[in-house]
Amino acid sequence: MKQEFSDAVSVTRESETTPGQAAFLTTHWSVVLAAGRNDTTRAREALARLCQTYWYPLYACARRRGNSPHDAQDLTQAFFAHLLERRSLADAHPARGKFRSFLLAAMNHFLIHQWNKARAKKRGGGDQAISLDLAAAEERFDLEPADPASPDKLFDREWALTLLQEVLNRLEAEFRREGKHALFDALKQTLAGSRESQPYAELAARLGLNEGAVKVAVHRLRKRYRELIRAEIARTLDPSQDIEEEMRHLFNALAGG
Amino acid sequence: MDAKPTCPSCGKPLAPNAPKGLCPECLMKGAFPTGPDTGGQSSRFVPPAVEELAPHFPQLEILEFVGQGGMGAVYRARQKQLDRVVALKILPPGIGRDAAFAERFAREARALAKLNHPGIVTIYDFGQTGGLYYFLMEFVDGVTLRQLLHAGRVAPREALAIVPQICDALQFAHDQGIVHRDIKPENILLDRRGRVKVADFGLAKLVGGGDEPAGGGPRAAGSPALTESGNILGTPRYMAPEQAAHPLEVDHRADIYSLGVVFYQMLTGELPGRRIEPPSKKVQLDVRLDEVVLRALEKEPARRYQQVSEVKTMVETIAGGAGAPPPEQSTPDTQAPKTVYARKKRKYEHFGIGSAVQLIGLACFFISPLGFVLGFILLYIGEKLALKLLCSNCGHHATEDAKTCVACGARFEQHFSRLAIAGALWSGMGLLAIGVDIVFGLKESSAGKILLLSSLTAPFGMTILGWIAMSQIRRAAGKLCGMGLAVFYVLLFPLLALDALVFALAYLIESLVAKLPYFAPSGDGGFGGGLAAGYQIALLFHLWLGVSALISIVADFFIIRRVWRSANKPVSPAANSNP
Repeated sequence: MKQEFSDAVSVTRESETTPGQAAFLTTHWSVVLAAGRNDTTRAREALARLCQTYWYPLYACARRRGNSPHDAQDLTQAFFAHLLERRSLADAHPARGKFRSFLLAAMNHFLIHQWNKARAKKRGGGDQAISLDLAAAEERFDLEPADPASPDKLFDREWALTLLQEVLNRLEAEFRREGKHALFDALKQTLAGSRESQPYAELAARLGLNEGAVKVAVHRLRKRYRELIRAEIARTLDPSQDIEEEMRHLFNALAGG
Repeated sequence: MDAKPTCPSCGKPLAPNAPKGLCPECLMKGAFPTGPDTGGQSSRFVPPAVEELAPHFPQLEILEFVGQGGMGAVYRARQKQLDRVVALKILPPGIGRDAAFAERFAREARALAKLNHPGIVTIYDFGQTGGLYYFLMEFVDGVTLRQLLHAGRVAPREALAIVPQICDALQFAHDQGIVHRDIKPENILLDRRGRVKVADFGLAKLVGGGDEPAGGGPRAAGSPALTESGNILGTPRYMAPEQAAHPLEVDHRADIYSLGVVFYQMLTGELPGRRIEPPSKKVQLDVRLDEVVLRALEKEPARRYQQVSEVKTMVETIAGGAGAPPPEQSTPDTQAPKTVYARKKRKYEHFGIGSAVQLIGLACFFISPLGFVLGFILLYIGEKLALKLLCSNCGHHATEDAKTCVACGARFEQHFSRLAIAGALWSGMGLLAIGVDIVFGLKESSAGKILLLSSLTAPFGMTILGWIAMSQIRRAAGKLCGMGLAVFYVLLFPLLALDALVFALAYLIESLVAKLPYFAPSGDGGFGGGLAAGYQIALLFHLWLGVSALISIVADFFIIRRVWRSANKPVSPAANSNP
C-alpha cells in the first residue's frame, strides 16, 4: 500500500508548468475508467493528477459542512487516501461519466460511511497521498462570501473556479515561456467579455502596437484559451460526455443558478 | 481604497478569489465558441495528416496543420536547410486529373513567383509530389480578414488603413499582368504588426481553369461564415458580374469589384444586397467613402475605377482629409484628434410622465389638507421627472453627472463665451445709463452729460465685443457656445443704424414728393390737387412707413442669415497649410 502512495507522490511532484500533450493524455479521466479493475500505474497516476488539481472544492465542501480547518484537512487527506486505495470505486459508479460528479458523490459517500472509521486511525505519520497546500486553502476559504448555497452547489462553483484558475495558469505559463508575460498581463482582461466590447484602442496605446496587431493578438489569445479550457474539461470527462453540456453546467454554477 | 472592484463586462462585483482578477462568469462565457473557427468543419476534401505528408517532403519539417483554405490545405512547416518557417499549401487531390493541368500549373506558378511585394504572400516553390500539387509560400503569422469580420464591422479607421495596402498589392500584380480573381476576406491576411498580405493570387484561374463554369446557376450564397469545403470556385458573392458570366475573360477590373465588396463588408458588416445601400446610411462615416465604394461596385467594368491605384488615392485623400470628421457611433472616441464638445440642454417635457404627475399633484390640492402635502410632493417629483438633460450635439439623454455623451462621445465641457456675456452687459449698462438719466432728470447737469456720453459707448462696445466673441467661439471648435448672443450684439447696432438710414432715406424721398405742387397746400385750407390729394398725402405717409419697414426687415433678414451662416462654418485647420 505504501508503494502506491509514494508512486502517487512522485507523480505529483511533476512540474505544473510543463503541460505537454502527453501529460494531457495520460492524466485523462478516461484513462482511469478504462483501466477498470486493473490496478495499473497509469491509472493511478492519472487519478492522482486529477485529484491534485481539483482538491480544493472538496476542502471547501468539508468546511462548509461545519468542519474545523483541522478536521477538514484530515478529511480531505483521508478521502484521497481512500480513493487512491480503492480506485476501482469508479467502475460501476453511476456518476462515472464526469470526474466532477464522481468526486462529489464519492466524497459524500465517504462522509457518511467511512469518515468515522478513518478518523479513528492515528493521525500522525503523514502518509500524504496528495500534497495539499492546506494553509493556502484556509486562506482561500476565508475569502469566500458567506454564501447560503448548499455544500453541493458550492462544490460545483468551486470546481468551476478551480478549473478557470488552472487554465489561466497554464495559459500564462505558455506566454511566459515565450517571454511574453507582459503581453499576457495586458491582454488577459479580453478573455472575460465579448469580442466586440474590447478597448482595442486603449490596449494598442498601452502596448505600443497598432490596433490591427492588437486584434490579432487578442484573437489568438482567446482561441488558445478556448482550446485549453476545452481540453481541461475534456480531461475530466469520459469520451461519451458532451463538453458543451459540462461547460454550460459550470457556467450556471458560477452564475449562482 | 475600498471601492469594490467590478467586472468591466457584466458589472457584477468581483470576489477576491476571482481567478487572476477576472470575473469567472465572463471567463466561462468567453470559453464558448463564437465562431466556426473553433468548431469542426465538414469538408469533402480531407486534408492529409501531418505524418502522411512528411515522407513527401523530406526537405521540410511539417509542424502543424493550420487550416483549410479555398484552394486546399495549409500547413506550417520549416525548411530544414534554411531554418525558416514557411507555409505549405496542398491542393485538393482531385485537381490534377486534367492532363493539361500540369502545364498550366507550372506556367501560373512561374508567373506568381514573380510577384515579389511586401503586400503579397510570396511564393517560394511549387511542384508535385506523390500525386499532390503543392506550393511553398511565405508564412503569415496572423489572422484573416474573415476572422476580424466575425466580430462584426471593422472600424472605419481600420478599414481605411487596410484598403490602401490591398490596393498597393493589387496594383503591383496588375502591372505584371496578373489578376487575382478571388479577392475575399479569407484571402486577406493581417500579420502581427497589422500589415496586410494578399494570398492565393491567380490560383482561381489555375485551379478553376479549363471549361469549368463559374458562378451561374443557383448556389447557396457561399455563406461567408464557413470556410470553403473544397469549393474551388470561391464565394460567388465577391465575384464581379462579368466574372460570373464569362470567367475566363475578365480583366483586372474584376479585382476592383471584389475589393469593393470587401470594403463594403468591412464598413457595414454586411454584404451588398441586390440594391446597394450606401454605407453612410448604415454606419456613421464620411459620405465621400460612399462614392468610392459604389463606384468600385459598378456592374459595368467600364464604369468602375480603371486602376486600383485610383481607389487608393481616393481612400487616402478621404482618410487624411480636412474638415471635421463625424464622431463615431460605436464608442466614444476619446483619442480622435477632434473631440466634439457639447453641453447639456435642459429640456422640459411638457407632455410626459412628469407633467402628468404634476397635474395629479395639483389635483391633490383640492382634496383635503393632507392633499396639500401630497400635492407638493407630487409636484416636486413631477418636476424632476419632466426635466430632462439632453446632449446638445446629438440630442441623446444625459445624466446629471455624465462627463461625456454615451451616444456621440461629445464631452460636456462647453462654456459660454465670456466675451459675449461682457458685450451683453455693456449694452445693458448703456441702457441703464440712459434710463437713469431720464428717470432722474439729469439731462442738463454734468452728471447727466457724462452718463449720456458713457451710454453712447455701448453700441460701439457691444458691436466690437460681439465681433471678437464670434471669432473666439469659432476658433474654439466647439468648446465655447454663445454664438447666438455674440451675433446678436454684433448686428444690433449696425442693423439699427441701417434701418434708421432706410427710414431717413425714404422720408427724404417722401418729403420731396410732398413738395410737389400736387400736394402743396392751397390758400383755402385745401390741397393743390383738390380733396383727393388730402387722402393721398396720408397714403404717402403710410407708404413711406410701410416700404421702409419692408425694406429694413428684408435687408435685416438677409444680413442676419448671411452672418449666421458664416459664423457657424467650422474652421478648417488645413486652411492655412497647402495641399
